[in-house]
Amino acid sequence: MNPLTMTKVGDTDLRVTRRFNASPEAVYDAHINEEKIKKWMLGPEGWTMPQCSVDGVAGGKFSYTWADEAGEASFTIFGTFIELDAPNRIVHEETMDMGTDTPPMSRVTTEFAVDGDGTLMTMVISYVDTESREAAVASGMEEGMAVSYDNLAELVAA
Amino acid sequence: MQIDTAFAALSDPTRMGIVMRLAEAGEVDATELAKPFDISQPAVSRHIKVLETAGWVNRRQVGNRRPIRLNPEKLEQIHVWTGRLRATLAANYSRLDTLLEEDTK
Repeated sequence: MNPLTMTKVGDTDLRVTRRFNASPEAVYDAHINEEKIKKWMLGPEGWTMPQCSVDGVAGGKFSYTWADEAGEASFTIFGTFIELDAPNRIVHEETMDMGTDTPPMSRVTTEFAVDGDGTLMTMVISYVDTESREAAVASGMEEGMAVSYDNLAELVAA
Repeated sequence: MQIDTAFAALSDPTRMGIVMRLAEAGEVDATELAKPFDISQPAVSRHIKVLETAGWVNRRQVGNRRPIRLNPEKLEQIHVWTGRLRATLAANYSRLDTLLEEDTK
């Protein structure tokens, strides 16, 4: 599998890179084609995407809803395409539907560059502020949680 | 269990900070929990109440103390999305690899 890199850039951005063994045209299409998105953008194991709508034109809207297999939890990300430059670049804004609070919006620039016989994708997610980025990456949280799971296991057993 | 509600509860930096502190420390008294934050004890209590309602934390009675800890069930469920953005993307792109391979056949 090609490696994924994830790097914090500045105070609010997160840069993700990933290489694909296919042309930029094919990788680009997989990002705006409903039928294809439903096959890959499924999230963690055990989740499905019951709803997916994509209007792949500049100014067009998209909406993805994920649900766990038990049907007990679901959430939605929706947004707007700002710029579509096939097969090089997609700029969109997205919001996670979080119910009543004003949901933070992030701006995502995804670029597809020829890399030998494949494509190098570079995605930069710009969050509204540092807290939002940290919450999304949960870097400290992830490390803390590995430790805390051990603590929790003890606490729960106690 | 509603993930939307849980995310909303975490959209506040102080509450996110409380959750992160609990993740590191395990179980903490409310008074201890307030220390790193530049806000009053009642304000911290309100934040804890929001987290409790959203299912993030549990409190229990130990003598005259009421220590707070993260709810392990909730953690497990939410962790999949918030703590594993990287793993989520990796899983997505692995599936995309397969899809792209099929397309070129």
